[in-house]
Amino acid sequence: MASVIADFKRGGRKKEPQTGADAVLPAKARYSPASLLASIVESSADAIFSTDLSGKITSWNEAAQQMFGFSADRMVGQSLLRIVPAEQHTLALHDLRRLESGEKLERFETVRQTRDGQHVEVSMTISPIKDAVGRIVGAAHLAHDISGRKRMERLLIRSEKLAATGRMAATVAHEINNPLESVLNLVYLARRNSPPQEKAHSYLLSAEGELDRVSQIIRRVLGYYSETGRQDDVFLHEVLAEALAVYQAQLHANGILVDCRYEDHRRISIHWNEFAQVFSTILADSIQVLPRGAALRFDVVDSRSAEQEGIELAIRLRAPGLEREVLDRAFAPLAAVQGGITSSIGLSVARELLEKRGAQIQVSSSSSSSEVTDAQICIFVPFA
Amino acid sequence: MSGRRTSPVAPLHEVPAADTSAYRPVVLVVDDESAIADTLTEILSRSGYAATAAYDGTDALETALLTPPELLITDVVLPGMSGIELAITIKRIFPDCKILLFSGQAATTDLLANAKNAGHHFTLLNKPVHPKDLLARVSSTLTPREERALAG
Repeated sequence: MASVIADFKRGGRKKEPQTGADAVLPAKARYSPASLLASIVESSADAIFSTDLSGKITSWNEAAQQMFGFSADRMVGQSLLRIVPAEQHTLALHDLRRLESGEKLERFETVRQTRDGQHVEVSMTISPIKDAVGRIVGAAHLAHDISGRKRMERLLIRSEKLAATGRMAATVAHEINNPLESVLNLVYLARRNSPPQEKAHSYLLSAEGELDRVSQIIRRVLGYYSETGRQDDVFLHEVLAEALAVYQAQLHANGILVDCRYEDHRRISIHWNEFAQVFSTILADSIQVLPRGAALRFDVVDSRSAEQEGIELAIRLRAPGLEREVLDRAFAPLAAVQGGITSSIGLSVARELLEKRGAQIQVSSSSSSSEVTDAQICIFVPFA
Repeated sequence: MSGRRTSPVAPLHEVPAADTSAYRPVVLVVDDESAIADTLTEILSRSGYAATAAYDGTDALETALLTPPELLITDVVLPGMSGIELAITIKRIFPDCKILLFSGQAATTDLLANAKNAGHHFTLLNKPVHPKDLLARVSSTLTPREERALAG
């Protein structure tokens, strides 16, 4: 172990080849360092502006104009507080005091507001500006827009919560049903064995009544996910697109390619949350099972059979180097529950949700060669 | 929703008919949880049935071959042979035997659908089933044939 660390340290000391700004610039740069910096600031995608120590704005870049909706002309000379929500005014000024006293401010996530009062979630870096003799005379503010990331985080948390709650409810209910059956039977037998005029008999009768309540509560818990949210008229692909957006980072990190074709032209009446849960579960399980280099293709189309019209979602999985059995087993709960104990309660819940909506699911797989396994999950959701 | 019953006396319809008839329909109860199988067997025995407990499919088949049941009550999820496979097998040997399935798992509809495709229509009860509901089901499942027998 020690020698490994020593090797690592030796490696770490190696001189890196010269790269970066120095290497790229021509030997005699035509720009002064100051104008170079100015052009970097101006072309930055992050909002960059400076203030004096009282919070008066002294410079304002193009991205700041984009982010907050105020032009440089309007903002220079104005107070920084114009882009700070009222409840954070004290904090923003306090930050400048801390900076003035020489404290180093760590990067932090906060909220700023735009000209029309919209809140923007930003990651802020505030650093001191010093004069020629090293006194702190102002602050440079750099704001990176993280609204998109934050929204995705919230969606991910919500959908994970939804899936986790569904799984938990199903597991708990399943685990409790058997012991509950035993207790019901035992209490019933005890009551039947006790003389009706004795107190024990009436206690047991009450116990039976209470057990009845427990059974009803469990039924409701199991059915909880059927009552979340209202039924909406939506395009099925919108729900799918949201779930994909939520899992995009994870899919990417796991080297899974995603390809979508949305050609559904009619809205369909479904519970958004339920379908979001179904898609999230399928995606989460795919990420678990599929190897790097696997491909997922989603086709959402209008579908019309002899009997029914609806929307069809075909999910095609192509997995190089994955045995067909593995894929079959992974998605078995969606195809059919084998032997009762399912490997993914999430998928069996997904199936229940789909069936409750009258949807049909077909799961099939094939090995086109020994190296590649294809699987297809077909979900047909009828109108009405 | 109190759900409480205040009467300390068992309703009349819950009191088993005294074993006036010597005829006791044979009921086979199968559940891998012995607490369930045993209590159900006792409840049925006290209600005029000749009930026997078994704890898995093989066990149940052996018992059935010794004493052909008129009714099989089986859990769906069993170790080894599933309750549905057991039901199909029993049906093959004793075509007149009635079947009641019960399960604590919600996701057993597929197993049932498979059985249905194979031409078997089984009734599924969800656990927990209150004993008095179960008795009512057992009685209604067994009665029609007896009535036919009486009429014939």
